Formats: sequence, structure tokens, C-alpha cells
Amino acid sequence: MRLYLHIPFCVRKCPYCDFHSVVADEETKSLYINALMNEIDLLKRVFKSMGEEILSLYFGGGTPSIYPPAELGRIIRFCKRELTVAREAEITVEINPGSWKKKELIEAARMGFNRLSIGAQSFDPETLRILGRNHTHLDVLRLAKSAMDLDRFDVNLDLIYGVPQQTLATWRQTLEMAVGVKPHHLSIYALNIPEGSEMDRKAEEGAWRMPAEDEIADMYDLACRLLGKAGYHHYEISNFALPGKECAHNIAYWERSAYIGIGSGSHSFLPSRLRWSNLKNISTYINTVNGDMLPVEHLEFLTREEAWEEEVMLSLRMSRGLDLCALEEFKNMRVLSDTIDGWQREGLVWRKGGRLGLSERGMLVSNQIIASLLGG
Amino acid sequence: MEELKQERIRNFCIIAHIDHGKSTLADRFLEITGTVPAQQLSEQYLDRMELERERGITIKAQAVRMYHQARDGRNYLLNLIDTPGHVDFSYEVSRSLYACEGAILLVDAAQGVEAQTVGNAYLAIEAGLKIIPVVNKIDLPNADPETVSLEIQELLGCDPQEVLFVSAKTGEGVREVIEAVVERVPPPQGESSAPLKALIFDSTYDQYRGVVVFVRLMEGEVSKGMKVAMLATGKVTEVEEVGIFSPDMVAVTKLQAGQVGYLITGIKNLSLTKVGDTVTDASTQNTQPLPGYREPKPMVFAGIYPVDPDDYNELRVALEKLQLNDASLSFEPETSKALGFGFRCGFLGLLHMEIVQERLEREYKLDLITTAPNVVYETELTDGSVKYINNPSELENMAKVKEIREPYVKVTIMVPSDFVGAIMELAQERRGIFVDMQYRIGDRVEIRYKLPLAEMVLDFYDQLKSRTRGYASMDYEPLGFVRGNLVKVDILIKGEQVDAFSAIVEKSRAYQYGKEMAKRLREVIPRQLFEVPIQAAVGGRIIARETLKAKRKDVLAKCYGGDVTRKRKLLEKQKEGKKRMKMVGKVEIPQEAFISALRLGREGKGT
Repeated sequence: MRLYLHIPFCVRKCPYCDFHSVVADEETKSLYINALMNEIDLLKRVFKSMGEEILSLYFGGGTPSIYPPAELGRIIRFCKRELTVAREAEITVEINPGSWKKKELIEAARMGFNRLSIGAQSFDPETLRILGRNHTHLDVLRLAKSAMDLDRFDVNLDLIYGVPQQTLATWRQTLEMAVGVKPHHLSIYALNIPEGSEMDRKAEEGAWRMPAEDEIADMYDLACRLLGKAGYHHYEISNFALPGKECAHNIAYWERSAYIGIGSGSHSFLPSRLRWSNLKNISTYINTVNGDMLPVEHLEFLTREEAWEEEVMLSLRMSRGLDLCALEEFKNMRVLSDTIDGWQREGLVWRKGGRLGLSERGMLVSNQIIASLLGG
Repeated sequence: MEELKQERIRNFCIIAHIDHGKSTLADRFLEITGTVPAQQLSEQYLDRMELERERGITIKAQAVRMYHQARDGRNYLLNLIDTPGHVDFSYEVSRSLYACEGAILLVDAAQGVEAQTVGNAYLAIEAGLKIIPVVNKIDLPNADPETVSLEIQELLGCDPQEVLFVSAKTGEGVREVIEAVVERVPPPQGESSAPLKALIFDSTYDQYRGVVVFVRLMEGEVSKGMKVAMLATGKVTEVEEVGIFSPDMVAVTKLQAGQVGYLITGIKNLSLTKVGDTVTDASTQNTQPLPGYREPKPMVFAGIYPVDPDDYNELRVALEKLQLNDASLSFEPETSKALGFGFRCGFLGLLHMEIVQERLEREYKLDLITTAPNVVYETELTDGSVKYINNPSELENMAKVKEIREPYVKVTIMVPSDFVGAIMELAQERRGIFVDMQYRIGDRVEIRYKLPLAEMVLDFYDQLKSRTRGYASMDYEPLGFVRGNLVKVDILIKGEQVDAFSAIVEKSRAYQYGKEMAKRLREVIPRQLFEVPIQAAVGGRIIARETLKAKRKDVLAKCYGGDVTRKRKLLEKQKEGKKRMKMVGKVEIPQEAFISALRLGREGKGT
């Protein structure tokens, strides 16, 4: 069992973000922390009935580091008191450069955090400016170094490629600087500009040079090459880790093990077919939980086929790939085999030991391959 | 209603270029003669079909009977036959003309004589009609009636005082035109006592009553119960009703020589009552047909396919219904690898094609893809037999073909002299052969070219308009088949031939066509997981190649906080999208890519 805690607040909204986050006042923020603990309380019996230890806690956002470490620490303490948290549990917090400094990191370690995920995005000033981040590349470097120097955390850096105005050269610099910090883990995301977002409007105006598909693909190839050389293992489409430093919490998502999301707009899954998501509106969420009601906005019981689709889609994100027996459950392999052979010839997939997986090049076109597998 | 003697009948029509005000003038006639009360007169009464009114053109001929007390105090019966107004229907126009003794030649006072005016005026003179020249729209601020009158005098060789000046819009001068019809147009000839000879100048299909035949009686008379024969089709049938248009259909006891009206018989099939055919008394033998009959022959072909394959049957039913009212429309089932099941349709010309397409989409609510239009080719095979080809893909084996001949037309273009250079340039690009050029009054030039019809069906008219800033007008007539140096260009996508893009083109243009089509396809086909060569080939030899590079990036970012549902839905959408793709070999091509490539094929040629 895994526990995710969503902190939906940001100092300000990033121009490319279409996720659940808002800018909020101090009072709401403080009410919200209490609401989170109330929700955990409400779900205590669910946790108990699952009869498992909690193997990881993950504070994500939004911006969890909008709170001082002690505030988040209250929740960790609460969980440890009320639920069964494993002694070795992975406890991650996402932090933004420019919020927590060395002092807060020391405090965070004291609160029980053992993994930091730093929203670095880039080490290039121009890229950071276009992303509308409120920190500089020096903030990024300083925070990453402090985190590493403290030696109390596994450290992840988030990086983004395919940003307007970004070039292969500036991306290479960012990658080299990131590798220079020697973090345990790197997440590399292609920028997705949501339709109608502020960034989308600016891009439409034509003020920026937008990297073309091939250039973005080159950036991805470069990342794979540089990180591979530096000893990182490409274990999921967007994730690279030193051996043994993979993010246990995220792997649970892809392996379809149980997790419960706490907080507004969070998502939960109980194997093998139950998913629900929480109310997105923050005050509704707070009021509902404080009224001892479950803040569920949407709940679905997957059909067997939907569950199978998830299995295919999520397994193929991982470098270990998919058990071919799972495919056979719904598909005529005689028909699919031909298609898969074609992909293999193009070097997009591999087949070994009864498993099917994507090559690094295949991962970058995973939507196409997965959609074909599901549709074929 | 009093029956009038033959010498008080006037059968006439109005010939004019599009937008020169024919329907407005006709409406004024209806109003002045009291045939339709002014308050009931919707604008352009005669153009009844919605589409006709919108485009301001007449597709089907209409006829209307009016009574008028002339200045001499006597009553006259006026039959106005409204002719189709476009070159595609020039055969129908010529038949309508033969139903008349006189024609009003209507010319816009601001636009002057246009190519079509010239073409139709010659048709009318050829048919022996008395011509009444009328200058319309004299109320317009930029009207130049004097110059236009001179143009008309030159065209017809008539006296200045013969030209009348009107504004059909305000009604000014219109009464004079009616008087001129009475005074100048001779009454019809022909004996009512002679054996029946009636000219079919149009026909229409009524869903309750079957075929309604529009006739002009040249000789004899016809009444209910009579057995009649159609000479060209040999169909014998009994007359169920005879009537006149006033302007709605009104039954009468009989029609006599010189009169215009309609017949309803037991015939339910429009193809048995062909325009130009002669209706005779079935009991008389060896009647000579009236001259000038021709089988309607489609010259332009295109494949019409439903966007949604489930609409195939609806499309067939819609085409059948349209054909009931339009005997010149032909269609037969056709299968395309790329587009699925559809029909190869034959049209009289481009406008006819557009009208059919629009009616299918508007009246039958069908979503359609139309392939680039092509013309009919005459091929002589090595065994000496002659075969007509209306679809490039029928030309499978070039080795068996000895010769391909393509249809030519004679194009008459009228244009201000400043644009002569532009016209010559355009005609040259389109393989035009210069015939002659004449200077007309008012700095206008009349140029004639011989041109392959294939060059015209794409965008010749649009180009003509845009290169002369709208000043040029054009008319054309078929010239028959001429031997050409033609080849079939095939398009191959990853080695698979795609029939919808094959074309028969002149040999020297093969490379250009192939290169352009391959380039367009590269632009509109989405990148695949593998490299896709797009090739153009002539008889198995590759003449052009483009390469669609493999798709490299299509990936979803992370699952924020484990939101798997959103991701699954995105992929399901993508999966559904894939299902709607057409497969050419292993290449997935969205319908939209086909449509846009075909559209481009119609627009971009040679420019």
C-alpha cells in the first residue's frame, strides 16, 4: 500500500501547467493540512482492511514546499501514529528551488523525509524564463548541491525538454550540469503545451521558435545517451536512476499496486479494478472531509477490458515490458505478431523471455505502439 | 380563359450572361401582365429551386404563359421559355431556342457583351429567331448604355433604333420590351390539322405524377387520351394530361400547333423523354423527327464517395432521385482502395458537377468526398477496337493501348485588351492552340483557343477570372477527340498503388504532376512508425519520389499523482482514431489527408 498526499497550492501558476493547483491564502493552507489528516482518519478502516504496511509516502503538487517542513512533518507523524508505516518506507517530497533552502532541508530530514524530488526543469536561464519559473539556474544548482551534500536523501531532478527557444546545445548543457550534481535519479519530461494555456497563446502569436518534432526527438536521444553513459538506468519512459535508486512509489503506479491519494483532486487505486478521484474544489473538499464524508468526486469500477488496457499501457512504459501472455488474453496474436515483427525490424520493440518491451526509440513513440496494440 | 388564334401567339425566350438580370426581367413580365400578383412575387419567381435562386442561375428550363393586351388593343398570348444559363447546358439552351420564334438578348449596361452572350446570340440566330436587343440595368451609376448598344449593333449587325433600354429592377422601359415582343416576334407557323410533331425542350420528374414533358407543338394538336410516341426512344404511351404554365401547371383540353405546354403520360422514367426528341401521334407512320436531336453525353467524370461508408446506400438512393430530374447525370458503382465504395459520376461540365455535389450535400445531407474531375478518353487498342475510359484506373495496361485521344473544346474569351497577355499566358500553360482574335468596340477583345477539356476541368475558369481581375468571360463548345501524347501517372505509397491519385496527363507534364502530388501527400499524410516512400510512376518506371520520415515522438508525460484514467482515455481516443484510418498496405492514412490531397489536386494544377 502506498500513500499519496496532494498539495494543490502554488506561489503562482506556471504558464504550461494544466494540473490541479491554485494560489491560496494562509488560512486555507492551514485548514487544508487539518483536512488531510481528517481524510486519513476517515480512510483508516480502508487502510486496515487492506492489511498491508504503507511502503511509501509521496507529497506531490502543486508545490508541497509551499509549507515549512514541520507542517508536512505533522502529517508524517500522524500517519505513523494512526496507520502502519513500514520502517524503511520511502518518503518523498517535491520541492521547488527558491522555496526550501539548506535549513529547511535539514528540518525535512528530521521530519522523516528520505527522498527529494527537485523541480529543477532546466539549468538554462532562458529556458527557465520561458517556463515562467520563479527561480534562477543558480537557485537550482545551490539547492541540488545542498541536498546532495547533506547525504540524507535520495535526490531526483526533474528536467524538461522541447521548450520553446530551447536548442540541442542548451539542453546538452542542462543535462551535463544535472549529471554533474550526481543525483540518484532523473526525470526527463517532454514539454506538453496544453491547449488554451498561457504558453499556448504565446506560441500561437509566433513570438517563439518552437522546436520541431525531430529536434525534440534528438533531445530525447541525447538525454538517453548522456545519462546512460553516466550510469543511469532508463527504467521508465521518463525516468532514469542509479542502480537500486528507482522511485518505489511511482513504480507502484505502473505496476498497478494499491495506492490511496489524500487531498483534493488526488487519485486512488485498489487492485485490480477500483479507481476513484477526489473533489477538485478546495473548499468543497475541506468542508466535505470536515463533515466526515468521503470527498470522492468520481469513482469507477473498471471493466475487465479496461483493466487489461491499463496493464498493457502501464507495463510498456517500463523497461521490463509486458508479459506477452497478458496480451493474448484479449488479442489475436496471429494478427498482432505481424505488426510486432514490423516494429522489431524498425528497432522500436524487443521480445525476450516471453516479454515485449519498448526500445528507447520505441518509448518515444509509445502512444502509437500502445494505441495499435489496444486497437489491433 | 379565351383561346387565341395562332397569329396572336408569341413564343420567346431571354438569353443573357449570368447576372445580367434575366430572372428579374422575367419577374417584371409576370407582374406587368398580371400573371402573378406583385405581392405574391417572390424575387426571381422562375428560379424555383433553392440552389438556383442562391446561385442566380437557371438549371432547368421553365416556361410560363402570359396574356397581354397590347397597344393595338388586341390580346396576345405570350409564352416565355426561360433557358438554362450556363455553358454546361448549351445543348438544352439550343433546344429551348428551337421552341421559340423570338429572343430577347439581354445585356448588362455596366458589363457589356460577354462571351456567353455572343455564344447564345449565335445559337439564336442559327435557330432563325428574331432577336430583340435590350440593354438592362441602365439605373446603375456605372452604366454605359451607349457603348453597350454599339457593341450589340456590331454583334448583331442591327440598327441603333432596334436596341431597347430598361431597368428590370425599377421596371423602367419593360413595357416597351413586351410591346416589341408583340410587334417584332413573328407568330408561330405550323398547321393544327397536320400530324402531331412536338419538340421536347425539357422534362422534369414529379414524385406523384411521373415525368412531366415540356413541349412546343410545331405541328398538329395533342389532347388527353391520345397515344403518342417518342421518336428517339421509341416509347409509346397514352397522354394522361395536357396543360400550360401560368406559371403553375394548369390542365387544358388540348394544345395546338404553335403553343407551349406540358404533357403527362404513363412514363415514369426520365431517360425515355429526352430533350430534343420529337413527340408524334403513335398511329401515324414514318414521321420525320425535328432536326438537331443529340444524346446527352457526359464529358466530365469524378468519383463521389461517402465520407462515412455507412452512407453508401443513401448516396445511391440520392443519386437515383437526382437522376429522375436530370437525365444527363450518369453514375455507376466504383470501388477505390483508398476511399472505399462510391460512384463514378458523369456530368455535362464542371458547373453541372458542382450543382449535383451541392444538391447531394444540401438536399440529402450527405458528407461527400469528390475526386479530382477527369474527362473521358477515347483509346484505340492494338487490336483496333476503340474503348472509352472515364476513370484513369481503367487504363491498366498501357502496352495494349495504341493511341489515347482526349476531348478538345473551342473556348471563346472576351476580355478588355489590357489582359490579352494574361490570357495568352494562361492558354499556353494549358496547352491551348490559338485560333483567332478580334477587336471589338469599347477596347474589348474576343480571343479563341482550342483547348484540351482536361485542362479546363481543373481550374481554368477560376484562373481566367483571377488573372483578369474578374473582367474576362468565357464560353466553350466541344470539338471532339484529338490524339494526344498522354500517359497515366500512378502514385505509390510504400509500394502500393493508390487508385484515387492516378491521372492521365500529357507526357511532358507527367513529372510535374507526379512530383507535386507526391509532395502534397508527404505534407498531408501523418508520419508513421516507419519511413514511407511516396513515388510517382509511369508504366512501372519511377519518375518522382518523396520520403515521409518516420514518426519519432508521440509520448505522454508522467502520471501525475497516479491519474491513470486520463491517460487511458487519451490512448483510447487515439485507438479510435486509428480505426477510422484507411489502410494502404501498412500505411495508416486519415480520411482528411485524402480529402485535402484531392482538393489540392483540383486547385493547384500548374500554378
